[in-house]
Formats: sequence, C-alpha cells, structure tokens
Amino acid sequence: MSNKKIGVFLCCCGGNISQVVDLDELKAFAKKYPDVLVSEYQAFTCSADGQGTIQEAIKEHNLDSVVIGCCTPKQYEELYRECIHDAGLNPYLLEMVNLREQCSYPHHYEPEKATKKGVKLLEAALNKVRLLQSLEVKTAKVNRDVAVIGGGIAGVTASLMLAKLGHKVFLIEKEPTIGGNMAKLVKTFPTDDCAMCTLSPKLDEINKNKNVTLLTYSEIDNVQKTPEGVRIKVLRKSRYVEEDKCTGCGKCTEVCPVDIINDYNMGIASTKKAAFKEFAAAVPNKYTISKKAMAPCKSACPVNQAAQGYLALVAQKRFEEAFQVIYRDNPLPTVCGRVCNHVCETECTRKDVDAPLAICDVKRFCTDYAIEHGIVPTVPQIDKLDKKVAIIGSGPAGLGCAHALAMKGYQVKVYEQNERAGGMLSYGIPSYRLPDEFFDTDLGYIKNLGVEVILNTTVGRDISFEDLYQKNDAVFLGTGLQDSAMLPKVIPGSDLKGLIAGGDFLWQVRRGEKPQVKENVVVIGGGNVAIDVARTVKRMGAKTITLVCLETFENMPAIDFEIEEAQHEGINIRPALSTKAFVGDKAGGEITAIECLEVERIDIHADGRFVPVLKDEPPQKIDCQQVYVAIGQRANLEFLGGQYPVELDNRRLIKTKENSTATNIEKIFAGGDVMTGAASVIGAVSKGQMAAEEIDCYIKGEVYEGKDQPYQDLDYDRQMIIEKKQGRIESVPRVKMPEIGLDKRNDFTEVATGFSEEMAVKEALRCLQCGDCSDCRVCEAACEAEAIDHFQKDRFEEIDVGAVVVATGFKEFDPTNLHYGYGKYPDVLTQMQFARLLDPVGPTGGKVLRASNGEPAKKIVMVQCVGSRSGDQGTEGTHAYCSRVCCMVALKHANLVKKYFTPDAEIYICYIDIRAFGKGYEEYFDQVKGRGIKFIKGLPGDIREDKKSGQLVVTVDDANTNTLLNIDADLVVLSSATEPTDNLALLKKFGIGRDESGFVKEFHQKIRPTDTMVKNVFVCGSAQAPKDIPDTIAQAGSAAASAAGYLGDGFIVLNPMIATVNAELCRACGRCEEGCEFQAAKVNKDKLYTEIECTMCEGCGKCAVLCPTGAISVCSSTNDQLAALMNGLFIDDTTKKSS
Amino acid sequence: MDYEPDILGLACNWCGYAGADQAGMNKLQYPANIKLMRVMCLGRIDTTLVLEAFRKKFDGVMLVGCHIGDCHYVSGNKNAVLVVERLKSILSILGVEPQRLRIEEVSGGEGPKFAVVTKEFTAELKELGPSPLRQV
Repeated sequence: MSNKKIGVFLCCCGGNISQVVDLDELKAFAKKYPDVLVSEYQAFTCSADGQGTIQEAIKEHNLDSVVIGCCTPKQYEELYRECIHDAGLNPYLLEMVNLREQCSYPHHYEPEKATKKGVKLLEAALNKVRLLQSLEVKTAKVNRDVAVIGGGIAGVTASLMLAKLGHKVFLIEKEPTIGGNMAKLVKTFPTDDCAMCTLSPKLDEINKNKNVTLLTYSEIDNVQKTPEGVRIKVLRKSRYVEEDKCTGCGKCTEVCPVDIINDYNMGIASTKKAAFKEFAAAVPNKYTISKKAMAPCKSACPVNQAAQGYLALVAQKRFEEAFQVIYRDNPLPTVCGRVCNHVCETECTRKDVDAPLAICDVKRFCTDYAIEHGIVPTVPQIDKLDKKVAIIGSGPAGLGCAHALAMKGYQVKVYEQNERAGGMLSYGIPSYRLPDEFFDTDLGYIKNLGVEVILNTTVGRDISFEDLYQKNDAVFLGTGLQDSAMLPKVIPGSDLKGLIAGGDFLWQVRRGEKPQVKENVVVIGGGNVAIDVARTVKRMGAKTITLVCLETFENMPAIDFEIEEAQHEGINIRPALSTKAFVGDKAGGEITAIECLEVERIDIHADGRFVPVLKDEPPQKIDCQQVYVAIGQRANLEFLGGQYPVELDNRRLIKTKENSTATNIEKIFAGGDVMTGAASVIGAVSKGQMAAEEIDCYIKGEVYEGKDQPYQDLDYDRQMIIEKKQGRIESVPRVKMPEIGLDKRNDFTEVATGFSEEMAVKEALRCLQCGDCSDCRVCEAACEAEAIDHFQKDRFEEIDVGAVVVATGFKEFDPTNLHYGYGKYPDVLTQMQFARLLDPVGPTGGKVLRASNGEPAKKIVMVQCVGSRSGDQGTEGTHAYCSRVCCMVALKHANLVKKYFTPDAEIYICYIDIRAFGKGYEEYFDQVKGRGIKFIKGLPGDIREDKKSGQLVVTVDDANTNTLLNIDADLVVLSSATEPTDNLALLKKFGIGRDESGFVKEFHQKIRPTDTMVKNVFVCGSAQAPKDIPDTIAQAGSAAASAAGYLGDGFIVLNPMIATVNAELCRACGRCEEGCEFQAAKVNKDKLYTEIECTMCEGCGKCAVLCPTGAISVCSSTNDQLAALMNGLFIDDTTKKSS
Repeated sequence: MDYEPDILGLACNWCGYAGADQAGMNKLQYPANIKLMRVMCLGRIDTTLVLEAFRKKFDGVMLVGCHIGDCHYVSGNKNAVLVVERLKSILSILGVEPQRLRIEEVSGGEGPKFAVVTKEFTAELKELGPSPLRQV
C-alpha cells in the first residue's frame, strides 16, 4: 500500500448540492478511507475562498493528490488543475466527483438515493486518485500560418484580420476570383449602399497584403496532420493563363470567338467569352480560359484539328483567322477541305440534336476564301537546324512529315518516283473530287517552308537507299500502297480479256492516258478506290455500271457520302456478293459476264484474314464487257533491297513499334498506308506528323512522350453538353453543299462547288461550342504579355499551416421541385437571380425585364420562406430553419425597384412573418412600407401561366383580409432558402462534421460558435449558419481571433493525457497505426515498436483497445485506473441477492 | 421486494457525459441506479473492462457516446459498437442476458434522451431481475 496523502474537498454549491446530498455522510466516508488526511466541505469550492482553502490544505498537510466533489468536471476541471498547480501540486493528480449535474440535480426528489450514489462516486474517485501519476506538461511548436477556405466576405475578413495580427494567410478559393456571393448582390441592406463599393476595397487589400497568399481557382485535395498543424494539398486548377504574367488587359476576351453560358449570373440568360474575368473588380485581376473536355470533333480528328475553333471564327466572319487556325494543325487544308473522310462530323455532338455540322465544307470554304483573297499561311520564325531528313514518297504521310519537320527547322528532301507529287492525291483520287490545282496550292505552302521535292526519282533505281540512309539523320518511309491487288488466279476465267486492275486504271486516267472503257462494266470492291473507279468509268463513257462487293451495304468501307454520290450518279451497287467465275465467249477470249454467289456472313480468322461464307444457291450472272478489280492495294518495298531488312507484318506492311512510327531499324521511320494499310488522307498526315515528332526526339536524343494536348480532360460527355444547353438549342437544318447537275458530270469537272460566305457563316453558327474554349488560340497572339498557355496543366501545391478557418459560405436553395413554377416558367426567378437583374452592369444592364418577352416587369410578386421554415425537414429538400436574410432581401429588392428602377411598379410580398431583427432593420421595414408595397400574409397555393396573355397568375389567400387573391404578375421572385455549399467531403478531410441542417457543426452554438470539435479548425459566416453580412463580418473576426489565440506565439500546451507504449510488450503489429485517426501512432520499423507522436495524439485511447498485447496505455486512463474507478461504483449490497 | 439494479454507465467526455450533464442541468429526473464513469471516448472501452464490470456483479452496463459519424475522434464509437457486439455473444455464453449491455447514441445536446434511455434501461433491468452472476 502506498502512503498517499489525499485531500477531499466537497462543495455545497450554495445548497444546490448540499440540500439533496448529505455532505456530512460523504465527508465522514472520506475520513474513513485510507490515506485521506483532509475531508471537508465548503459553500463554494470554486470561489477564491474555496480555492484558497484547498491550496492551504495542500501546503499544510503536504497533500499529494486531491479529490474535489462539486459540479461537472466539464465546467471547472481546468480551473482546479490550475488551483492545485499553484499550490505546488502536479495538476494531473486531481480527480473530480460530479455531485451536481449527475447527482443532486437528477435525483432531486430522492435525497437518500442521491447520497448513496454520491458516496459511490466519491469512492470511485478515491480509488482512482490513489493510482494517478504526475504528468509532464509539454509545449510544442506550432506553425503560425493559417489557411482560410472560401474567399467570400467571411473568408476575406478573417484573412485580413489574421494578416493584421501577423499571421501568414493562405486564402483558398475555388472560383477564379474572390468575392463570393456578396459580389453578386447589387446593394446591401439596411443602408442600400452598393455591395461592390464596400467589398472591393477589401478584395484589393487582400491582393496587396504581403501576409496573404491568394490561391484562387483552387480546391483542397487532401489534408494531413503534421506535428505543427496540417499539411494541405491544394489543387491549383489551370487557368490556361499564367497568373504572374497576365496584366488583366482583356485583349484575350476581345478576340475570343466563343460565347459560353455565364454561370456568374445565376442562370439569367447571358453569355461571356471563353476567355473571361467574372466582373470588373475581380481579384486577382487575371483572366481565365474555360476549357471543358476536348470537343469530340477535335478529339476524333487524327490530327486533332481545332474544328470548333475555325467554326467559331467563321461564325464571326473572321475567315482569314479561321484559315490560319486550320493550317496550324493541318498541312493539307485545301486537299482535306475536299476529300477528307471527316470523322469530326461523325462524332459531332449536334448529330444527337438534328444533324452534324458540315465541318469539312466550312473548312473548304476557308481554303477557297484564302485562295481567292491571296491569303497564305502565317509561318513563325523558324531557326534552321543542321540536320537532314529524307522522305520517300510525297503522299499525305510524306508531306505531313516533311511539313512538320520543316517547321522545326530540319532540312527535308522528299523523293517521288512520279512526275507529280502527291501520291494517291494526284494519282488515286479522281480530279472531279480533287482537281490538281488544289493539291498544288497546299504543296506550294509546304515548299515555301524550304522543303525540297525531288520528282521522277525512284529510290532503289535512280538513287540507292543506302546512299539516303548514310547521308541523312533519319529516313521516313511514306511510300503508300502502289500496287493493285487482284483476285486469285484460281477463279475460273481469270485469263479472260477485259479484266482490269482498278488502281492502275485510276493511275492511267490521272496521267492523262485514255484507256478504253466499254459500255457495260462491273467494278469489284467496296472501298473508296472501287467507288472512284465506278464514278470514273461513268465519266469515260460507261453506261451500265454495277459495283459488287463482299460486304453488306452497311459495312462497305467506302466513305458514306461517296457511296451516296455514286448511287446518285446511277451506279448500281450489289453488296454481299462473291465472285465465283468470269465468263467469256471462249477460253482466253473477251469477258461477257461474271458469276457471283451471295455471301451469308464474313468470318474473321485468327490471322486477320476475311473469309466469306457463301450461301448454297445457284450463282447470279451479271453481263458485262469489262471487270475492274478494286479489292485493295499492296505495298511495294523492293527499293529497300536486302541490306535494310525492315520488319513487315502478315499483311506485308511495315511493322512499327507499338504506338510509334519507329521501325526495327534505327533511323528508319514509317507512316501512312505503308504502315497502317489503306486509310484516310488525314490519317496518313497524322502518322507523318507523329513520325516528325519522333524523328525530332530521336535526333535530339530525347524520349517521345506522345502528343501534348491543349485540354486535360479528353473524355467528352456528349449528353452533358446537350443537357446543359437544353432549351437553348434551336433545330437548324444543315447547309447542303451545292453540286453541279448530273447532266454536267460527263467530264472531270469538280462536282462540289463550295459554300458561299452566307452558307459558311450560317453553318458555322450551328456549332454547339462543346469544349467551351475552341482551341483557336487567337488569344495567344493577342496577348502581348505572352501569358496564355493552352497546354497548362492542373498542378498541386502543398501548404503547411497551424490553423484553418472554414468560410465556405452558402448557396441558394433550388426551388425547382416546389409548386412555384420555378424552372417551368421563365418569369419565375429567385432573389439572387433578381439581384443580377438589378445590377447596372448585370445581364440586363440593370433593367427589370421579363425573360419571356423582354418587356419591362411592372407587377412583381415576391414569395417568402421558399424552402425555409418548412416544418418537417426534408420535403423536396426544404429546410426547417429560418434562413434569416430573406425578409430583408425582399424588402431591399422591393425598395430598390421602387426607388431606382420602376417607381410605378406594383410589388406584392407574400410572407408568413416579416423578421426585421437587426440594427436599423425595423426602421428599414417601415421605410419600405411607406413606398406602397403590398404585404400579403400567406404563401401562394398556386402559380400558373395564363396561356393566352403569358401573364403569371398567383393565387394566394391573404390572412390579413381573409380574401382569396388572384394576382396577375409579370415576374415572381422567390426568396429561396440559404443552404450550405456542397462541402461535406471537404469538412470530412478536416475531421469536422455538419449539424442536422447541414451547416458546419460548431463546438458550442452559444459560447464557442466559431470553434469546431477539432482544436485548430475554426468556422465563420454562412458556413456555420445562415446570416447577413454584418453578422458574417463579426463572426469572421471572432474566428480569426480564435485562430490567433490558439496559435499564440507559436507554441501550444499539449494535452499530457495521451497514449504511451511499453516497448517491451509491443510487437510492432501495426494495428494501432492502422486504427489511429490522427496519424499519431507510428511503428518504428528499425526499433520494432510503436512510437506515439505527442503533438498529434488526441488521447482517445482507441489504440489501447486495438493493441493485442496490452503494450499501449493511456495516461490517467490506464486499465488499472479505470478498473479502480469502476470498482468504487458498485454498490455491494448483499440484501439484493435475496430477491 | 424492491429490487434496484446496479448500473454502470460508461460515457464519452464529448457526447454521453455532456448529455447526462445537460439532463441534470435541466433537472430532468432519472433513476439513481446509474453511475457514470467518464472516458474520453467510447473507443477506449475494451471487453475486459466490461466483463470485469459484470464479474463485479453489476446488473447492467450502458455505453453512451456520440452519434455514429459525430465521434470527436472520428471512429471511436464505431469501434465501441464492434466491442459491444463481441461482448454480447460472450455474455450469452456466460449465461448473462445480452440485453444487460447497451450502447446508446446521446449527443451533448440530448439531455432528454439520456434521461429517457436511462429510465428505460433501469426498468428493463428491473424486469430481468438481478444479474445471474450475482448467484455465483
């Protein structure tokens, strides 16, 4: 047994305790308890007298522990700890007995039982106090910096206050500007002074204050406790404008062609530019570019043409700029405007609304415009490099590569075996689709960059490949597919005359030769070459043309509109047929017919071959005099010779590395059809461009990491944009490309004649602007500060702080689901929306106009308590609480309309009660009443639209006069509830919760309204509860002062009642570390036991329970101490056993 | 014969204990059978302590803590729920009615709730009679 010296001090609490609990009995009990030297009671132990008595007794009797029986320890425990500490005792050698709240008060009418319970509570305390040990009180360094979350008036005020108190403040705001909701209010009650005039000096001060670091357009990603506070990982969203360079001049906005929905105006129909600043006095004075996901047109295009960009410019008749935007991504704009397979249109969002945009036709218009007006591509200054690249083949792949390399400064030579450059563009695609001159235009642009095109030179014959390989830093193979594939010779009749290779035929025609075409011909094949052959023979005199192909009509690989054109020109398409035999007049004679079998299905074998399964039916016979076979093209790679064994795949095409254009041989790259098989022009260009990037990296010794995109989100949600623009999209038919008549299609005159200016503009205006920013990048050129960076990426920044102030504000309740017609009738608004209407620099220039017809609103009905005071919480998301500000907001808006805008307006306010509770508010109410505003006691039962007049009819029962009113209204304004922002996830990161209304749960509603359950997290403003501006500012000051008080001079006193580890017993299993919510328990992997970080341990004791070996204990809450306490509480009354 | 069950209350500092204080402050009356022991968090309560209470021949044990989701220490009360579940099965094995062990969510502002659950629990234990372990 220890030799303790215990003092017991009981409190009468002025009778509160002693009139119920017999303190004499308790005193006597204590006296008999071992080691108790002093036992007495006083009127008030908490008084100066009472404390003095305790301190004297400690000194006199040399007491080493103290039990005090009085009110709840939650009230005065800290006071008594200090009291005994001042008398020289360790403050943790104290145990308290709750004789008031848990004894005399709740058992007021049972004094005997209360006394009996009091004795047990005292015994328990005595048991425990004997086992208590002194605890060392430590202090710890704390980071004095503070993070303030939310840049509304609350956050701004708290930040400035903390900055003045000498703290470094990080103000974190998710929007691009600070100012919050207050910036959207036109004037503020009860003084009617302008909101911005009072707010903007504060915003400006934030900007200038050296202690404040402003992190706008930022969100909190993650929060981690540290010994000195918390480490916050902040997501800095990309503005695509470098903040430190932007001067706020606004040139980007001036040139931006994209109008997007202006969210700032709370849904009031209005637009802003994709490069925007929310309002004139925005802080920081920096612009932001709004980028959604990459638009589907751009993302579908192999070269990622900024289609939305040039469409936006064409819509504004900025044709030259549009042309330059096209040329930026596409070195063959004139060609592609005519022959592109335009997957952009296939993916166009508008296809889900009416019809996709005629993007390709608009592009063609731009190139036509450029030719007509002598506009050539703008080329930036290029620094020439002393590096050479040889390109074999001048088709789209070769030219795409050549162009991209030349733009990087390389010396590029393109070798072409024919007398014209262009490959398939010059020899494959017929000139009624692409006249030579247009390819020449594009080739001219490329040659202007210094690219040398060497014609009539066959590599392997006129110049050796070896030579090219040795003399250049890299070689690009873009030789395409030159040889036509023929049907297998095993087909009967393959030796007949009149069997012609389609590809070779097109080649001949393009060379100006005039091969003889018979009247009745069959074309075999379902691809673009077959269609081109069919339409070409038509122009060369064939009368009956039948196209047969293996595929079903839907699966024909040719471009849809080419098939349509062919049918339009009278070509008979017979899909799903396989050639069985060619029939002739005699063996080796002229062909007279083909025999075909119907295809049931096509199987794809494991090796990639297509094998048709034929129906067991008699063959169909098609009479003809010639058969053109266009079933595919083959690569010819003889020129490589044996010295450079470039690896081929099973289709005899060049095999490159995965997602790369590099071949198995160093320095040799390949792209286009020779690598991918027959594909599109733009596909080949993209491979050429990719090869250029890889060659550039290869020569510079860098690693190619793929194409950098000017958008971060590449997954586009089509439905989202349609929903967002719902009601704003009018169906407009697609402008059709004009063509020459069928009667004129007997030579090679170009069929499509091109858009007029009006047509191009009309079509471009149909664009839905899917990406917000269109990536036209005209702002880039306009920005003299060179601040714009379309390739900017979101980034993370970590900040360390000692305290956090949460000021996340409020949002307005969405009343769509209530019966007030909001969202259904355009003239039903909320007060926040109405505030935007009243703003002189707002969407209507401060005019109170009806959204339905643009007429001024003369009769306005306001409805109070919309979504507030709803009684049972939760119906349609409404709230039980009063939102506190709405009465005053309605009065203010009514007053403003009468005073400044429409003095003869008739205004009704439907209310339950008018709560004008603040300083000067009742006076304001009186003043507004004097303006003739009609107050109706009662909320509308119904709001509907009169179909004929378009007026709203508000039905309301006025309890003041007991009459049912039907009010015709131009405008109905709903005083919608204030509700918390969507901050739940954020709050959880800081370990704080919400109250039942969803606002931040404060430590104590009355006495600690700006503290939270977490000691270094504070709250203020509407995040805590709905409140007006004066209250918000007052509370922001309180939160700032509380945070500053907590941080003090950078040292805080630590709670010593924390976990401790017995290293002998610990086996480092890690359960404590896993279970600890405060990252305080950490297994030391070297020493193999857990260590407790005393600055982070909160003393909850969870780890002690999780510990399987009993190694962890909690100071002043050890197992022994708890057991001792419990033992004291048991009433060992043997009489009860008999029951 | 008047039988008065002996009840141990285990209350967390932030919610259960504060709720009991609030009941007292509002002079709400409840049976004196319950005697609260304060811990910082119900997460500190382990099986040994509760079993020891039953061994000491308490007739009932009630844990009062924060509502789930409101724990001052994030998850201590969730852990306590697990401990209580485990204890209930142990009590069954020992022949002690599992309803002699309760866990209640009482926030610092729910004084009335504290009074109500205490009355309820006391009445229920009176029905049950003394703990079977008292006979041992």
